[in-house]
Amino acid sequence: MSHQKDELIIYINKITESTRLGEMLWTRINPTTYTWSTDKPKPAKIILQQVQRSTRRIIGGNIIVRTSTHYLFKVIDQHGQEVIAVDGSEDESINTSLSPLYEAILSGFTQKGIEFLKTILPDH
Amino acid sequence: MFSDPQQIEDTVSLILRVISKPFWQKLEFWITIVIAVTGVIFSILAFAEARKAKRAATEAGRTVKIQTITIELTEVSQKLDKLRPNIPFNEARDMLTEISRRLRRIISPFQADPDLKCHIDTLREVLTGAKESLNSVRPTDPANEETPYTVYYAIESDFASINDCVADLLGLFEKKTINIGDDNVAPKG
Repeated sequence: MSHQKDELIIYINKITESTRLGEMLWTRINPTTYTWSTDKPKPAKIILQQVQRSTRRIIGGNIIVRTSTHYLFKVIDQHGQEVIAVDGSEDESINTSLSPLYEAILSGFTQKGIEFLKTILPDH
Repeated sequence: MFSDPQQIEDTVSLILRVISKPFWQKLEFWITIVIAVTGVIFSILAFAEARKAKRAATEAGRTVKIQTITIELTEVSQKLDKLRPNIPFNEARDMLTEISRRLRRIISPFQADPDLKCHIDTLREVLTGAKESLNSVRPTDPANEETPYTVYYAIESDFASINDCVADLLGLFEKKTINIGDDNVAPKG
């Protein structure tokens, strides 16, 4: 299991690198979910979702709020079946490796937006 | 009327005799006093009983209201349990809007209640958090919402928290109903 987890982390790191290099172009499904689709060598889809969870406890009449951020990573095959489904809240090391991937996707989107903005602005 | 002076004199002297006797020495006076005092005592007793009856009626009304609230909270809790993993965004939004509206209507009259204030504040925060979580998965393209379970993963934790808060409030409202019952029981002996 640990070996498989290490292998998965290696692949997540590879995806992160490819995303940074612009080799993998992600699509925004909603403000916290991104997907990457491919048809070769076979149709598949990767979904990454950021989830924020807040837990509230009443201690001595005060509400204590604790917020945590984790990531859900899923790989779906051509039949729409989940091949891999990883919940970062259940494994800290996977969550830690998914965080840079999410940041890379966000950064790519911001960069794309800036480049688009540059193309529509009049030259001075 | 009186033609005879002697008769007039006798009548006047009789009147003077009657007037000259103090009124408290008369039996009629004391009968009147006893009747008046008894009347006052009965009036006070009637007032006290009416006040007790009014209080009991008010408490009974409160008990019925609280029982209605507990039924409504149970309904909301059951609705929260029905969150489906494949729920689409629109359905989740409608569900949250309805739950939020119902809960806010139920809790708003009790927001100053010292026993409930903290739990009500927590519930309000959790409801706000759930709305934020739902907004975080608002589809970029509403016509193309095909990613499975995305909405469920985003809101299930918040829905569980709302359900916890509702359960806490249910318990506190039920306790209030028990306390009202205890307060109205007359001490024995």
